[in-house]
Amino acid sequence: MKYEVSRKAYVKVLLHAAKYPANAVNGVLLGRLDQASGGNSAVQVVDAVPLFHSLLGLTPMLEVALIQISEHYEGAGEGPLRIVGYYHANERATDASLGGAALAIG
Amino acid sequence: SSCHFFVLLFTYLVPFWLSLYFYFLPIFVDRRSKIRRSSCFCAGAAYRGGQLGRSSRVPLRPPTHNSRMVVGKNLSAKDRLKAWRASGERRPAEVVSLAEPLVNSATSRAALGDDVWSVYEQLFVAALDCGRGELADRCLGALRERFPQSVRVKRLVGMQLESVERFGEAEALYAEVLAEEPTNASVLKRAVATKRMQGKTAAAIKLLNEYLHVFMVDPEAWLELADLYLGAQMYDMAAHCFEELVLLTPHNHLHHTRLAEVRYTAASAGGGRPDDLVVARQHFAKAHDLNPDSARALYGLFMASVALLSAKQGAGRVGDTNRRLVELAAVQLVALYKRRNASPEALNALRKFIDAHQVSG
Repeated sequence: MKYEVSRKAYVKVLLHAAKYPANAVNGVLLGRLDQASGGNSAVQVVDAVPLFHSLLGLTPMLEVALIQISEHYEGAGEGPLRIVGYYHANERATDASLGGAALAIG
Repeated sequence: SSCHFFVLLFTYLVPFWLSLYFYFLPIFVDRRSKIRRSSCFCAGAAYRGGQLGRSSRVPLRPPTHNSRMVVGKNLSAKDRLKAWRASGERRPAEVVSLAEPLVNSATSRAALGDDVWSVYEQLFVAALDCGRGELADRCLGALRERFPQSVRVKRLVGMQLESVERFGEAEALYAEVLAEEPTNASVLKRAVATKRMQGKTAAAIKLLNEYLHVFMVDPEAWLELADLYLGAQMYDMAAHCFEELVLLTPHNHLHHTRLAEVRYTAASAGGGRPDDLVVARQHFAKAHDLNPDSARALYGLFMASVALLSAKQGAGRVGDTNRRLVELAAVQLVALYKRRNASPEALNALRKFIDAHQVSG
């Protein structure tokens, strides 16, 4: 399984984290599943939508956001995008663990 | 002597006539100019968006709580820094860009007077945030020179140690200060922060609970504890923290919203209490009441009512309230988006979202 991350998605994720250096941030990754590349499927991550930068584990706004994102991008002009991933940055720079909230959303 | 009499009479009566004139003056001025009448309502007008003479259809509400103060562009650097010190905002890059030139030049240091030490402290913390180690060193050096025995400066030394991850030394320093002053709130909080920075969440929670036993009226600490509990997914305890916050500041719509969100999360995670969704709905409604412009409160009201509707199929009267709340929230959301000049895509997304939750009947 190959994963291709577009520059736009990558930069957006980094900028979101950089905008709130003291907080944990999270968001969704949008893209397409490319099944035509010689038998190996590749996931193309085309875009990213930042979600929260405080109190990340709370569901009401998360549900609203996920519904609106999937509805909006499914009807997008240049080709429908699906939610293909989730990004999460912890508060501490050295902490690479996935907390309970990240696992639940993922 | 009749002339004297009239002079005396006039002298005594003039104040009387003058006082009558001033007594009736407001009435005359009032009829002539609208501005005089509404100047009494200046404070209210500020709440209503600063427009004098606005129609009375707009209800008087206290200002919504913004975590960032709007500071006028015409204010000087030192006034802006002062405003940020008062509100406690964290704006490291801006503080460094404004304060560094101030402390570098001897004339502006002199112009600041005694404020220069507060500016040094503010710049120190901002420099730590921006990773400007040598600038932080300089500020700390100046402060240590001026206040060699100060506990407040010791706390800053501890912060610097924390910033380079020398947590053991920082904790030792705080323990030393707390041995002399066991109720020093700011150092107690730094001890909690040190634990948190090391990832020792359980220890941080324990320490913060001890702190809150003593300092029960500290909203910042309750918020921090709620954050720690949410990180550990202990929703009931986090809800308790937000309940304390609501008790402390019942007019703050953000705390109501947060409490409601935690209750809703507890309900969907499955481990909460049976009345979670109803309580969530109530607090979302209260938050909307306190701040009609809060989209979060309206979305939350919508989601909680939809969840209640689906949970209580055919519950008759209770279902009816939820249905009406769903419709109300939907209508208010669309109105809010239009009021805030939302883009057509946003409005479209909202409409699709509402339709996706189409309730039967």
